[in-house]
Amino acid sequence: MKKLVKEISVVLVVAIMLFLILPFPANATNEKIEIVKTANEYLIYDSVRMKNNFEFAYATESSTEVDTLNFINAIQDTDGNYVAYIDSDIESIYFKNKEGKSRAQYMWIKQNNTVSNPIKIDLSNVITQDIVDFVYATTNRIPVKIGQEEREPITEGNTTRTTTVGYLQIEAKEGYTYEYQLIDLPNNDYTQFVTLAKEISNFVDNENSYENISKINDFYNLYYNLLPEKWEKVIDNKIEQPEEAKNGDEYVVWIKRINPSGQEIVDVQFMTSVREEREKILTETETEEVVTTTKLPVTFDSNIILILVLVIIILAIIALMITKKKLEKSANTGEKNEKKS
Amino acid sequence: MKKSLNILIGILTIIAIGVLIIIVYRYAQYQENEMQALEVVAQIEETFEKSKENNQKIEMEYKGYLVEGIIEIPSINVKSPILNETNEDSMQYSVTKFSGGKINSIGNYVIAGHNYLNGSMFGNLKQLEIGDDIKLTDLYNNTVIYKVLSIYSVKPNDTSVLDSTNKNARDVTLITCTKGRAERLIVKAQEIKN
Repeated sequence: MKKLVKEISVVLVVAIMLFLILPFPANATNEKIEIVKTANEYLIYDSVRMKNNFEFAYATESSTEVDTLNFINAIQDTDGNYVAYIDSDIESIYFKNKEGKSRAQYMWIKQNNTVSNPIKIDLSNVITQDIVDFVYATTNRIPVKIGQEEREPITEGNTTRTTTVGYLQIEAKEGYTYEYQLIDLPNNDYTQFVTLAKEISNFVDNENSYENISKINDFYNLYYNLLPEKWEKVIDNKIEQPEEAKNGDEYVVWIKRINPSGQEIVDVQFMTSVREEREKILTETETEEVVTTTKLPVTFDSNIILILVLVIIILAIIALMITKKKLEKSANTGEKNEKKS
Repeated sequence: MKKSLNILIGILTIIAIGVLIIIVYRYAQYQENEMQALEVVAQIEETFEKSKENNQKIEMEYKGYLVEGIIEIPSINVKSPILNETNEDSMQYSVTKFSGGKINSIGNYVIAGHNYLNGSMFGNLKQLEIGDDIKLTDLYNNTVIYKVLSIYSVKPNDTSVLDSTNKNARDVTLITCTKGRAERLIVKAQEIKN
């Protein structure tokens, strides 16, 4: 028993000594690295460390001794986040091979005298302005309009039922064909996609802060992961909500546009279905009313009557004036005859 | 006798001038209504332009009647708001929906309008030709283009013109008077599908 206690004590002492001697590595499990390519450099965001200043260093091997690393101060982005960077000099030293091609390298971050484990940096997988533009253009690449239409009323006995349903109308280009795929929500694969889409649509002024960039990147990756394999043809440029859709049901609608030379563009829309049903029980009086109101409306120009009246009056005035002239003439002739006689 | 004639001519002249004034006043009124209707169309189009992104429905009233959409017939220069109710009062101000479901929905959407001699509203409808376009825009700014398929006259009690020609198609029917009020000029059009 004494021997066992002695052995455990030795193990504990060795463990404590090792713990004190070896540098404590930063816990990297919750950190997330995003690399954004700007016009002149790459900015590297570390979600855990970006709120405080730090230093960073690069090396081509993950086994490089920390003591030999050349640490550089982080810079701040427009939102005040601390970021590591790779300018053209750093890129040519650490990130390009002899042929000038991009290769993955390693980065260490020193913050509060603690140095992180080596973090793999791959410049072939970065967020570019093209990706940002692509994500912001989502839902606008293929223009659509949301509409509602009333179905032909169905009358059964003395009850008339009218249903209003929603649809997406594609603003079609001549010669282009369209395909679509409708995904019912909620759908576990799409939960994050829809949440991100809503958040991105609320971004102010397309500001590329770290939070936004991170969400844009996640959305972009999900977009390509979720792209459907099967498509259905769009008929009459109109995508109707499913027959069984209830009011407020949500759908993700993938739309593909194929131009005459076969090039494809894909976009996605988020549709909320509409289904309003109105039932009206016709009473006897209402039924009669319907019959009487189905006579075609009177739409003639009532001024025609006034114009006719005016013409008649003018003709009457002319006739009276002629009669008056005749009377005057006969009166004059009578007077002359009297004088002669 | 001569004196009585003079009196009669005088009275008739006064009546003629009165009738003429009424006619001129009424046409001025029509012209004024048409200008106001065009302003309503302009307001709707301006609102569409402002809310381009969100596809929200516009609510618009004109002279106490709800506007359902806009009718445009380029070949006879018609552009008017469509009011939701047909009665003597509403028809003074613009063309009106006489029967049918919602604008641009499946079925027959029937619009009535006066055939004013000055050409306003449906005054020039008789000049339409088969194949001419009629555009109806709803208040979500969705436009459907219809092509004129037939033009003919019917008796006022011939309500068969209100029926759909095809249960799955979008039809629009325009009605105005012809031969005084003895008959109705009917223009039937159907949606053009790409």
